[in-house]
Amino acid sequence: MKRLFAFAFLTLWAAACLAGDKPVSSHAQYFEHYEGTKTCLQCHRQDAENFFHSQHYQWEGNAPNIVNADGRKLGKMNTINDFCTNPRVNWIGNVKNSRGEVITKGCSACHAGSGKLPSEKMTEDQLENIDCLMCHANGYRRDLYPDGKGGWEWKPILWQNQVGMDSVAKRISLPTRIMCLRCHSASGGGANYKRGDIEYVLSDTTRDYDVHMGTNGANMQCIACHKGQDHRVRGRGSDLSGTDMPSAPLSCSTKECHGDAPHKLAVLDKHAERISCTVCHIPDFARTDATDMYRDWSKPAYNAEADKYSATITLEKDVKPVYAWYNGTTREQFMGEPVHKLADGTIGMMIPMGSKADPHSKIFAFKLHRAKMPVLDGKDYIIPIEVEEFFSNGNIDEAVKAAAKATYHVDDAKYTWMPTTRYMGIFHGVQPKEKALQCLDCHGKNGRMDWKALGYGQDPLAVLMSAHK
Amino acid sequence: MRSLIKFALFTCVVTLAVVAFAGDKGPDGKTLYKANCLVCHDKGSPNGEYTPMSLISDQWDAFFKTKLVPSHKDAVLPNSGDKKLLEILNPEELKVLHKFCVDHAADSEQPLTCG
Ligand code: HEC
Ligand code: HEC
Ligand code: HEC
Ligand code: HEC
Ligand code: HEC
Ligand code: HEC
Ligand code: HEC
Repeated sequence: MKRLFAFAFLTLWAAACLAGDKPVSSHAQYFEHYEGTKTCLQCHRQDAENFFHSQHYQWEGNAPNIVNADGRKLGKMNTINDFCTNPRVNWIGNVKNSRGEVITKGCSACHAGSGKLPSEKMTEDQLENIDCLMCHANGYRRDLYPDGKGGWEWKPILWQNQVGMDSVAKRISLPTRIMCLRCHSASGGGANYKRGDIEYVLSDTTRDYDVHMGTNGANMQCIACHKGQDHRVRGRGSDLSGTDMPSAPLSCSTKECHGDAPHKLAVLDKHAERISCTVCHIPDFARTDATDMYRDWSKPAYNAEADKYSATITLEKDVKPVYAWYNGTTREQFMGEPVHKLADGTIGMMIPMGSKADPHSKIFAFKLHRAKMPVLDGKDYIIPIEVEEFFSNGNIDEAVKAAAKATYHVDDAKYTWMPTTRYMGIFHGVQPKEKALQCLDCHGKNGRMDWKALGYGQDPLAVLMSAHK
Repeated sequence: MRSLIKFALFTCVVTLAVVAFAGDKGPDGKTLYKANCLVCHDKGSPNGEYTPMSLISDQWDAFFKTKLVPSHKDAVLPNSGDKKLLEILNPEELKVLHKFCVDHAADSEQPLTCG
């Protein structure tokens, strides 16, 4: 009787659970067993070759929007940022803490490959390295395992369970939000640390949080806006280097989306001529998970719970953006070039170009990220950090010197800690129109606009009013 | 016939009530899994290593529905004084275990090793 009850119970319960969304097994007819990417290559060789050349795979690409690129191809691979610095020195590996727990696996965790560095030359080995399932299979998960040759590789966690693996590998679709968020919401070392406006909750959220992606809003996938073609994505934002599709820039005000006069009130459309839509429609960001606003690499911080060291990171929630002119181009600080300082004395890591006088500029909303980074004495070159060992031993001096050696071939480098500044465009988390900024949010006392810094001298509305008196 | 339907409905209601109740009471899945499953299925075990993320949710459903009873009817929990696994676990606990395995299956959003 007990058994019978248990059985009835389980059946009922299982039925209730299974009623939810079931992924579609779209590829059930196409293959029997998944044996890695070569299974996909049988039919999708051209798609794989296209992907091989993309920014997503190469982490290097044409950079027409970087004013000091000088024709170079740029991307994560050959630039430096003030979050995890440069991936080349931290590509793959299992770093353990004193308790033997894995605390970091390398930057390749966010590369759509199985662990090999992308090469310039396209080979069969490189095509097979592409991890298609990251972006195309519902329920796909991977982890780092020894590759049997003394190194490491990313493999599906189901690699020992062929039946399960086959089931997951057949649930193929175009990318859904969760697939893109696997990488984009955790960049910078923690949930929402880096971008601030690409949060994990976007996978399943309300219109109140994001009118476009909210499931009771337009329920748009990331690719509804970002889909390009031939594995090129549209949109680079303001602080990435390479651009997959410069020919098809992504913005809210193009004809296919809202156009440049979407309001009933003429005064709002007039404002939109000089103010990006995001400024009024994304009043704040990091509304669920706090985001990294200041990362001081000079001060190692020990987290006892995780038994791990990191930089000292200041997190903030519900952050108001800062506002600056931007014409679509950016000035970037490169490695191996003397640092370029801004008027406030900080090094400008990624600085939007533009001004009130430039007719192609609009005021945009940004997350302003500050950091402290090491700079090589004598040369004034910014130095990346070999974070892997540092995470386990907290020895920042060693981590800087090792990176200086690897990057600039300098032994026992002498260096100085310097403050840096990075402007990161805020484009996601558009709130319902009732939450849009109102006249006094900008024109009132203590309004959001720093009129002087923006080149107005003072509030233009106040000027207009006094002229009418 | 009518009373049968009534009975079925009644069972449903009771079941749902228990489900709702079990949600916040009783041992959690992780603890149950460690005590009743991992004891025989830890790393390197001759019975095979099984953690929630060894199987996909469909496989866990099949396991709890049809395989657990035949393959574990003789299973005796180590260090329990010869108690049979299937006699120790009550229906609610099985339900919690099933849900835990599915929630942390290899194709879930939070695969777990239960380590
Ligand atoms: C035997 C040939 C074959 C194999 C092997 C195969 N596919 Fe496909 N795939 C197709 C065909 C045909 C289509 C287009 C028809 C369709 O949309 O169902 C397709 C469509 C797709 C699409 C577009 C889906 C959509 O919803 O628009 C993706 C993505 C895809 N495949 C990825 C993969 C991946 C990843 C693999 C390896 C796990 C793979 N395919 C293996 C034949 C194959
Ligand atoms: C495997 C991890 C990963 C996945 C999955 C992923 N991305 Fe990315 N994406 C990256 C990284 C890393 C970069 C930055 C590359 C660089 O700057 O060199 C990037 C860059 C981008 C860019 C800027 C591209 C450019 O040309 O400047 C966009 C837009 C983007 N991703 C959107 C998406 C969308 C949409 C999806 C889902 C279809 C997605 N990403 C899935 C890792 C990922
Ligand atoms: C970083 C995410 C990402 C990875 C990794 C990725 N794709 Fe895609 N794939 C996309 C996006 C986004 C689209 C839709 C836009 C497009 O066609 O570029 C797409 C579209 C496709 C399509 C449909 C093309 C069409 O014309 O409709 C196929 C087939 C495909 N991918 C196969 C693959 C295969 C095979 C691999 C591995 C070799 C792979 N993809 C790896 C993101 C990815
Ligand atoms: C409603 C349209 C829309 C949707 C949906 C959307 N984005 Fe974007 N995204 C944008 C716009 C606009 C930009 C800025 C493009 C530019 O200026 O080049 C952008 C920029 C980006 C960038 C460049 C870096 C940055 O943030 O500045 C990444 C990466 C990105 N989006 C990822 C995603 C991911 C992942 C999703 C899904 C969770 C997503 N986007 C959904 C419109 C959208
Ligand atoms: C100066 C601030 C401001 C700017 C800039 C701005 N908007 Fe608005 N927008 C508003 C306000 C305020 C409302 C609400 C108006 C109302 O309730 O009648 C609104 C409403 C809307 C609506 C809802 C329309 C309706 O009548 O229901 C859309 C769509 C919209 N804006 C899109 C945009 C786009 C696209 C841009 C850039 C081209 C943009 N907005 C620029 C402040 C702004
Ligand atoms: C996001 C901040 C912001 C909001 C919200 C905003 N304004 Fe403005 N406003 C500006 C900026 C910046 C300018 C200067 C635009 C330019 O240079 O053309 C401006 C200019 C003006 C001017 C023109 C002054 C002149 O010299 O011609 C008027 C009038 C005005 N705003 C009224 C309003 C009213 C009314 C509202 C509410 C419906 C409003 N503003 C909402 C930022 C804002
Ligand atoms: C007393 C030791 C013991 C305990 C306790 C135990 N198992 Fe097993 N399990 C076994 C043995 C023995 C096998 C059979 C191995 C074989 O036949 O190769 C097995 C097989 C399995 C299998 C694979 C075979 C199948 O039927 O699909 C799974 C999955 C499994 N057990 C899960 C569990 C779970 C979940 C629990 C906790 C509810 C559990 N086991 C508790 C000993 C145990």
